[in-house]
Amino acid sequence: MKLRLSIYPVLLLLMCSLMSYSQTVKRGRNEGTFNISPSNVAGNGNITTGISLSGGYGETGLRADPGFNVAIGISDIMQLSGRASFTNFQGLGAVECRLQITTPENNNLRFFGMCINGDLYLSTTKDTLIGSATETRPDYNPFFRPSAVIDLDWIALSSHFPLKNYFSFSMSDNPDMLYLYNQLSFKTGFEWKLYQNSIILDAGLGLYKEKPNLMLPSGDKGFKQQTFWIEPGIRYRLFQRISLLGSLRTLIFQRVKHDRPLPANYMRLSCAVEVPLIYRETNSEAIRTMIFVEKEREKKKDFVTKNIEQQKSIRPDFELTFDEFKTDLPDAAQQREQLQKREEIHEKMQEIESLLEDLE
Amino acid sequence: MKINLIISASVLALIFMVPAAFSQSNQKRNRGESFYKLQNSNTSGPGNIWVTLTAVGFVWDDVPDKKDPSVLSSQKWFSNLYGFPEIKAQVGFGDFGTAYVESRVLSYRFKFGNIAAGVKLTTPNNEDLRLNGFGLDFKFNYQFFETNPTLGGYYGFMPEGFVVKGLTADVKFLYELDLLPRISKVPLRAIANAGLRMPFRSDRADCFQYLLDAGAVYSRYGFDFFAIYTLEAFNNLFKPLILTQENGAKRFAVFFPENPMYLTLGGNIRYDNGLVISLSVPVLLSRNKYSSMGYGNEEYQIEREKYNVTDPFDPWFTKWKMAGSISFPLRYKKTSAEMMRTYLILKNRKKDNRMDIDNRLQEPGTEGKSQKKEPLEF
Repeated sequence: MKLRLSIYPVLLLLMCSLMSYSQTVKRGRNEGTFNISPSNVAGNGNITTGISLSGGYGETGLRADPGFNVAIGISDIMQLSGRASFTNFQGLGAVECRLQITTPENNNLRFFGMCINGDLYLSTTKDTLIGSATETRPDYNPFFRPSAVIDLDWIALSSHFPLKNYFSFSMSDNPDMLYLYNQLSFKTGFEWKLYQNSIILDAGLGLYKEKPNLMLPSGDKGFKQQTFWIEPGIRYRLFQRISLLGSLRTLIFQRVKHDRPLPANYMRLSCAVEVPLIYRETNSEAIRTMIFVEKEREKKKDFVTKNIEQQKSIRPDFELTFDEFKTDLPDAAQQREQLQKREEIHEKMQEIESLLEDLE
Repeated sequence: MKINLIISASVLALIFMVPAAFSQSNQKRNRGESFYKLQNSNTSGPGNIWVTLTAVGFVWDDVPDKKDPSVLSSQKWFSNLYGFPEIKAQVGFGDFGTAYVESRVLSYRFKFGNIAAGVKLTTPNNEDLRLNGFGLDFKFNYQFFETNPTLGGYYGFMPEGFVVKGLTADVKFLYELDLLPRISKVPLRAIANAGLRMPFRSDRADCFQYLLDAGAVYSRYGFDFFAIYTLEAFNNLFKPLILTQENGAKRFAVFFPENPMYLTLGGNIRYDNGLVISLSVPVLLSRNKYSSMGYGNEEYQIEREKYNVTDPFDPWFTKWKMAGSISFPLRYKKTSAEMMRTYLILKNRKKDNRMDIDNRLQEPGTEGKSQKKEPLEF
């Protein structure tokens, strides 16, 4: 019963989303990889929402964290987004709010893009160690951490190379641990961006430094603990607009200290659904679509020409030239004219039929 | 089940479909709007009715048994997340006033939170887009409880601030500096509300509070950003307020840095039909004094003897909150001032040259000569 009730809002969201179904793919300008948002922001007034589920295995055992995120484009260079996760279906996890400001030319298909983010993490992890927090009066602190993203969209230079590179720097690697560790995070991503779908590869390096606390009053001297992972994934688009994402993160390397080591997370499987709720086409993605469309037409054209060439080489006796072949085929204008004539005839026939019915 | 479905459908329709369906060029703006708790000096306009639905949430630990690991493992849901719904309705009268009713409908343990009624008055030049605006706000609030879930059982010190059970009156002076009428390229406003909160209960007469909200608002056609400083201070600027509770069994000091002080960052998204979706994140600036010193500290012992306190109580307000709201008009007639604001903002807005890819692909003469709207396949 409860499950059925919770399905209705999801169905309604899908319905709202599919209402504006159209010919071309609805690709958000702010679509990135699983771990890195691009430097581009959503179109002004556009709203994208998504749900995710990450399941992993680590030193603390198995866990699965569902999440919810929303992004709103508030001008051509700004975006406000939020994300909330639920720790192992048992409680609210980290809540994140982000204001993203990108460099100009965001509405064009740019090769180089950069953005600066103000990230506010609202911690829900019980802190009983830092500052004035005690066992009986724990703190749930907010943390403000800036971050930056640079991306290179190679399709802007060459239509045959639809690769997008991401480089991100943040002062938060694991928001749930921000209360205990100062963190640095370096991530890079490669996205082979096709017309609808994408193939993704992310990699990340996280550095951790324990803050002074009741257990370790002096804190760590430097970033003694490091972790490095890679995460291949895909983006698959349904109904031209709903994105399904899947990825698998694998821990490659982790260096920890002897006392109070950072718990390792060996594997993490993530999947997500992203739905554009309010969508208006952006110029940058329209240009990207045009590039794919042109490319596909060129391909088709090449195929036809190749066929003709082949036919010519197989049957030289016919001496059929391409121009002659072309004149035999009705072009689109002729087809439209014929269609229009048929419609007129059909209308006139309907008029005659109605006149006859009146006479009867 | 049907009711749930209807509610879900209505809310979703309200949020996502209405803005798209009733998109107009003349945006409906509430002349007497608020930015989180910060009120501007203007009033709503005669006969205009606006409704705001708000949800406030935060995480806060108050029940000791939740800290016991054995209890945690037996519970399916152990989050200390709290969420409260609020509603506000305001109606404009004349060109100078707005009357409003507001309530936190549900509070801790599903009890009724509070109900308040008030009136906001402004100077008669409210019809114009004015550089300097002045107003007065009077509000009577009835709080239904002041106990749970305070830490340590100290009455009145709730997670979001100090409250007094029963009736209180708020009086605030409102000032607004609106730069838009002077410099149309700078849609910036500086707003300040300053006043007093007075409890009607005689045993809480010492607990009156000075109220201050001050902030800056950057407004464009479709969105606003704001940053607000909020202070609810006891009369403890120069020396701590000493409070006694439980017939003198508890005597404690509240210092000035321990007053609830928040920095709120937030934004609004506006749609042409008047719908405003708002998100605010207040972050606590207050600092607890005694717990920061450490209870075994010598300095703390000296302080304790100095003020003769029996208990090292710190207020321990919630460190952050999230507040989301939806505001929409039930009855609306455009005010001349807001018409002018829209005009000035639009005057400086860059033209939105948006490419329509669907039309582009169907235009005759271009490569996209597909006669029917069929999805392109790749």
